[in-house]
Amino acid sequence: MSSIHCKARSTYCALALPLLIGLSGCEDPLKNPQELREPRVLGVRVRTLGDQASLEPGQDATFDLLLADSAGPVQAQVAFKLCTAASSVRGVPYCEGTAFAQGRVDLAQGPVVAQLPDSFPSDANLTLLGVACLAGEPRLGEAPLDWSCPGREPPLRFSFEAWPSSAEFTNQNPDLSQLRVQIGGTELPLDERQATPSCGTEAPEVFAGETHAVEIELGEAARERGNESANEPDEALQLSHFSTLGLFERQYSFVTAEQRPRVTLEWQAPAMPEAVKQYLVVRDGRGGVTWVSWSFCAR
Amino acid sequence: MPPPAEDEAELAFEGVAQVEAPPRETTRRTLEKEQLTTLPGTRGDALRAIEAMPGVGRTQFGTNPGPPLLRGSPSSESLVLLDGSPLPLLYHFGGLTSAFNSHLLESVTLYPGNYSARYGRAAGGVIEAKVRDPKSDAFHLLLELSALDSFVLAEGPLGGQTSLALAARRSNVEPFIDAVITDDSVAVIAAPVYWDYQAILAHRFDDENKLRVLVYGGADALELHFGEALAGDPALSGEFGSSVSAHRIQLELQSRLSNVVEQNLMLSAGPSPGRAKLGNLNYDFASRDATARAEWSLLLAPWLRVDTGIDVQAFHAGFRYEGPPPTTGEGVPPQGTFASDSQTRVDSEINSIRSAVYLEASFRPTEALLLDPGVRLDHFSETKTQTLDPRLSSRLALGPTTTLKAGAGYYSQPPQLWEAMPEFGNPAAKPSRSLQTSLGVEQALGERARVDLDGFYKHWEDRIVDTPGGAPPRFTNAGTGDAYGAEMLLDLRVTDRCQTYVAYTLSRSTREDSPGGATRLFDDDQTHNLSLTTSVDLGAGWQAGARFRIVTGNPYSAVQGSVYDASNDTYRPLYGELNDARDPAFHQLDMRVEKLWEPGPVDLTVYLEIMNVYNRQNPEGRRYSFDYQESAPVVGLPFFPNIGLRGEL
Repeated sequence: MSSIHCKARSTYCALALPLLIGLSGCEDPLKNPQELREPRVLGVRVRTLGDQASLEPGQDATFDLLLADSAGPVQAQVAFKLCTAASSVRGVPYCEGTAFAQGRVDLAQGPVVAQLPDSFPSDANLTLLGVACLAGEPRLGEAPLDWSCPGREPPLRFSFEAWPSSAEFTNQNPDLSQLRVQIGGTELPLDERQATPSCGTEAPEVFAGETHAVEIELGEAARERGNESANEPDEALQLSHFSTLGLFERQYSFVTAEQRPRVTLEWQAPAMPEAVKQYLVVRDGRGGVTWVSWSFCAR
Repeated sequence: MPPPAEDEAELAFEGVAQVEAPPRETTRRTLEKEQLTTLPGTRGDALRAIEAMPGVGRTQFGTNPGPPLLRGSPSSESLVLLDGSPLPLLYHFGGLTSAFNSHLLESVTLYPGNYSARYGRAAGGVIEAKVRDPKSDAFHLLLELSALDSFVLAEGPLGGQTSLALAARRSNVEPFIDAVITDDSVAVIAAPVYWDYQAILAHRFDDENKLRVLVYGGADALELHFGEALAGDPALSGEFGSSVSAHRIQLELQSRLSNVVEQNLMLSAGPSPGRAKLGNLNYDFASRDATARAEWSLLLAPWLRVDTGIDVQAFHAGFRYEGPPPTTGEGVPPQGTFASDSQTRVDSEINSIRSAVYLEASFRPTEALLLDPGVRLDHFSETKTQTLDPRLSSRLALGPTTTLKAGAGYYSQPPQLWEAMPEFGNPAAKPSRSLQTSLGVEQALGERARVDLDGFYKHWEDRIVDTPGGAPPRFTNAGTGDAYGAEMLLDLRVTDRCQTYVAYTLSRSTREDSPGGATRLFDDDQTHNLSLTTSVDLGAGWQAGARFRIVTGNPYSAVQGSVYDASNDTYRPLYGELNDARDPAFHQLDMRVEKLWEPGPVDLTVYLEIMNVYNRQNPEGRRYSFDYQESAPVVGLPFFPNIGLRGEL
């Protein structure tokens, strides 16, 4: 038998056992990614003029970070470097040569802004590497294990690959201006990312202790249309769901090029009345990222 | 087919003494057909029975469908041969049971190292299965039903000097799959199935010429559909399936050309198609392989025999592969999710011809001393390289009960095909090589016990390793390695009805992945491996047996942190030193009891085999939470009873 065949089977079989165990109905002792238990980075996005996600030489690029924990938004200091990543195929990306931008930013004061070099190849792997700390100054050492925070604070390490523009390729971040969200039939307004959820009198309400259908209508503006003459498909979107309390039935949803940009999933509300904030991060798989959030009271 | 080593040896020495001739190899351990299907804890499986021998590492449950681990070598350095030809499909379902019916085997012989120059292309060891001839005395029918699978075997004479055996087996596991998979979002598109078949035709033209035609094959298939992506990896959704099959026709002609010369010719050929889909791993594969061997044995004098031969393998495959770039599979801990892996797409063909000539002599300068020098010259078309491997084994009888033995030699292995392909790897990759040495003693302890002690040392040079991060050229010959240890096999027959094997291996296997680089443990390094196997004939058709194993846990690389991959909402693990931690020790007790009734022309056997009698939760790896902050063990085979019924006419 061919060795490639053996190799691929090894990869397959190495995953098969854990997968089947995961399907066996046994209760999984590991935490759910859609549940915000501790501070996490939920997304990184880059934007240039006109919310363009693909980068051109010489531009100023702004990198936004979305951080949250079980109470909602958190602030952090970030150490970062922006560079061309080496041509590796596994593991955390690493810089090839000198970073063309690096520094430290307090996200409460503003996002990470970096000036791009005057030239880079259109197939360059432009990568932002960084670490965020909620208290204290982050340190971005050479090896990823040396991206650290002072004391015992767990570092929030991240990497993000930005796509260069070319004559054939440009990309916008997903436009969520048409987005509508309903939970249990109640339409929810989007809130400010930094807003802390509360059960004040203005807060929309859903029933606590129940499972609700969450309907997300992204709107056609969310994805870019493919060039029909070039037989390009429309963008496909990956949606990530997070909730400060309660539990979404899954972490990811997908909208393929052929599907209507609409997603429905279930959310189990907490048993006790609580204020809840939920985040939706939308990725187009080509470097474009946008997120929104909404808050309500589970009562 | 090359002649069985012991037959050759008998041929060489039968004029000297009418006793079983000693093996020529330094370490050779053979299980005969009576043991192959009855050893407890092996599910009646011949390849699993080999694991009761020292020098054979424990294979983690459900993870390694390849050949057994031998003397600190990875599975990819072991060669499993069926009458001299590589067996294309070893196991069903990732190691559940071997794909060739063990009831059709005469014996399985393990060479954990220092094997003969007749074989090559493996830097580790060889397992040689020998097919038996069909029974020719009368028509026989064997039918076995068990919880795992069922098979039928029919054999008998066809008249004259011809006999035929036909066998087929199919799995019985489909009814259980719905009970196992309870997740509503998962649809079973094709229930897991395995099957295999064998046909053996033997014809003796005359006393000097015998032809055997062997046709065999098998297949595994499973297909599920995930309605949702698995948590932590957006790429793991949709179809999850695999099908693999292999079919062979093998012709073997044994001829005695004169009183001095024996000739053995073998040709084996057939296709091995397969496909798999898991997340963004997607491949289709269709290969055609052929193996040809021609061997001549010359008995030049009572004290000198020379074997020479040609060994050719041809391989052609067309394949389409989409997925993470392949790795060597060793020394590369899991790097995260399928979504964060970079993707390779290859639509290509592979052609390879590997040819070898070898020469080996069995030289007995004195009655007590046997020297067996050999040399093998290999050519590998895919790398356009040649290797020359000299080998020597020797045995010195110190008396009727004691034999000293020693061996040394080089063993070359070509890169795996993908490692040398320009699309996947490094066309400049060259064969890796191991220097193997061993020293041992065989000692009879009275008439009812025998002990076999071996020490071994193995050194690898030009070992193929992955470049850091898989950066171009992805694979290099920059690795080295060492393995050393001691093996003991105690074969104890307390009574004629009770046989016990005590097998113990003490070993250490290490690697360096770059010149002057840090030394790390081999992925499957197992310091201690103790296996106690006993079978007792209780009389009145009752037979019982048990096997207990205790093995040091495998090394693993402990996760020390993670990095959020914001491009696709996944995490990548961060490791410290490679293989800096170990799983807890593995231990397991298996038992087997069977009862034979012989009421008339039909023999009826009922057996019960219980794997993992005390339901030990043996860790076989671990799963991590999405961010690698939590982990849970993946445990191996639970308490598993298998009941079977066998009728034999």
